[in-house]
Amino acid sequence: MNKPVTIVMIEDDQGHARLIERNIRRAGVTNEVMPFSDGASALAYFKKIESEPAELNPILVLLDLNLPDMSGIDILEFLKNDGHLRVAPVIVLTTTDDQLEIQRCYDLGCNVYITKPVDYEQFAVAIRQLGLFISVIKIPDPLNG
Amino acid sequence: MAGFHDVFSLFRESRREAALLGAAAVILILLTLFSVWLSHRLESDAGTAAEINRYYAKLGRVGRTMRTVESSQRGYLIAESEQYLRPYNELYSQLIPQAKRLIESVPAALEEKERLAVLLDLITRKANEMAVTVADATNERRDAAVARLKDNYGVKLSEQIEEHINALQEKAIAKRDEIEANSAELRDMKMIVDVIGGVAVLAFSFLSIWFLMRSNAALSRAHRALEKTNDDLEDIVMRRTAALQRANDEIQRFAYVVSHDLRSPLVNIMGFTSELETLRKDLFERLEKANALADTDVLGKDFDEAFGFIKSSIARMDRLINAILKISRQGSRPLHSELIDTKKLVESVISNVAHQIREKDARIAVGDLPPILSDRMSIEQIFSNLIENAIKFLKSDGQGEIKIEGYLRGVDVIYSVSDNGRGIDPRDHQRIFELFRRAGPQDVPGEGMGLAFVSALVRRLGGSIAVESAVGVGSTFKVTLPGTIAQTRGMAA
Ligand SMILES: Nc1ncnc2c1ncn2[C@@H]1O[C@H](COP(=O)(O)OP(=O)(O)O)[C@@H](O)[C@H]1O
Ligand SMILES: [Mg+2]
Repeated sequence: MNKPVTIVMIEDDQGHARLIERNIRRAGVTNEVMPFSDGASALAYFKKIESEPAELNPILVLLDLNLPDMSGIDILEFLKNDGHLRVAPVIVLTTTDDQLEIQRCYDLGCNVYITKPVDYEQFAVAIRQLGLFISVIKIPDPLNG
Repeated sequence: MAGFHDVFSLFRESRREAALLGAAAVILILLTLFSVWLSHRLESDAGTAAEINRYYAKLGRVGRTMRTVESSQRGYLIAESEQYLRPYNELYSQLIPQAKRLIESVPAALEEKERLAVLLDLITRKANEMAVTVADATNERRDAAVARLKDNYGVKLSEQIEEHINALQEKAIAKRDEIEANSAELRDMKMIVDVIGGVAVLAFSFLSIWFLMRSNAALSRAHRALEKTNDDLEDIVMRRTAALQRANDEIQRFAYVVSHDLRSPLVNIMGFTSELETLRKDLFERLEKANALADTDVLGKDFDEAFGFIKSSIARMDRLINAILKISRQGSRPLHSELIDTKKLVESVISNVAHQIREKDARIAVGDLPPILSDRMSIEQIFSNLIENAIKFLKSDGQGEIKIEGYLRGVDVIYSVSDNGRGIDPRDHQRIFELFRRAGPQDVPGEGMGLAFVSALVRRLGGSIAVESAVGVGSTFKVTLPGTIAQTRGMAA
């Protein structure tokens, strides 16, 4: 039996983290959320679970690009170049709506890119849709598929 | 700056050299003049000496003639033979003329005119005496002739004449010797002067050559230094330009980061305000249920008012941040040059604001706009902002008229957007181009960033923008742009 997906949330802004989690919960997502507030600790975690089979520890990454210690792009790059973690869906959530940056993320293999709007209604709707996405997503098995 | 120093010292040096060479030239000229004068002097002295020699010989000849005539006269008287009279007949007539010529040809330097006059007088008398004697003898008055011979008158005359001639000759010789001695001295002096002159010419030549070589060397040194300075200058300009570019990039990056990072807290403020609003609903429902308070309506209104202010402020702040973001992004966007049919572009801009024009019932006229080689997106933004403003600030009464025109001036293209709207106070003509600044009554929505954006775009294209306007009459915005890309920096072809 597959373990439910853990949501790894890398977000330095505590307020944003809280709002995101609230809205995910409102969308009916009950998965465990594991928050990281900087890039280094998130990378340390990834390196720890890297060797474990993905089905034992399926993850979905919510990534902010503006981290205090590094650019989220670096983390995205790390994930997408990793043998096991490559399959984990990555949702980039950031305040930037710069077309170049968005394109860069898609090129690196990010699955969804969401701009955090100041308009809260829009924000909430986007996160709830994300919850919908999380609940239907099937994490591919790196060993069998 | 070594090059400039070299050039200046070269000037100083060359002034000193010129003074030196000038002095040398003056000395040389004086030496030459002196030598020339000496030559003349020597020449004229030699002439005088030769003249004296000729005069000396003439004196001798006069003496000889006199004696020959005299001995012929005597021979004739003593021997009474006609044959003795032949030399007398031949030479007698020459005696006086010879003496006269002597007076004419005496060198001025001798100052002997008076003595020669005396000599002439003596010779004349002697000639007369001889003529009278010979005449007497011929006319058979021999006795009278011999008697005259015997009284020695003629002999005395002869002696006096000889004495005079001798004295004159001695004086001439002395004068000639004096002149010759003097000439020898002059010749020595001339030799010395000529040697000095020669040495001076040589020295002068060497000096000139040395100066020439030195100034040549200095010149080529200065030339090299100048070349190096030029290179350095180019280098400096390049470095400065790079530094400016870096500063510009930094400002852009700064604006970007600031506006970007300001957004994060705004998301929170908005998010939690909304959360609070939800909470408020819950809270008030519960309060009503508990009926703890009678005037929940009033409280609720206060709450709503506060939330309203917070939210509208956040929205405004978000718009401002977006404006900064837009301008900073515009600055880093690469420009693409292409030939733009400006008239067509303007017409499409107008069609995008057609409903606003209809709303205001404005008339809009597009003139013959010259095409331009420029960045399409920028030109579009410039026109759409200016046209939007022209519509937005039309007066509520009267027929709104908007005119878009263009013409060429030299290599520049000038476009203008004019309206007969409310106009702008001259005090605000500068201010309105600044970010977030607006003018006049604040009865039209807007953030005051349109013109700041336009002027940033125009500047980036290498052009300029100006406004002419009077309150209540209308406004004209004039954009001057370079007609070709060559004049525009940072343009990607
Ligand atoms: N065509 C115009 N006629 C009168 N006033 C104008 C016109 N264009 C601009 N202005 C003045 O300049 C100010 C700044 O314009 P702009 O930067 O476009 O900001 P906004 O349109 O948001 O007010 C306007 O608020 C207005 O006072
Ligand atoms: Mg405007």
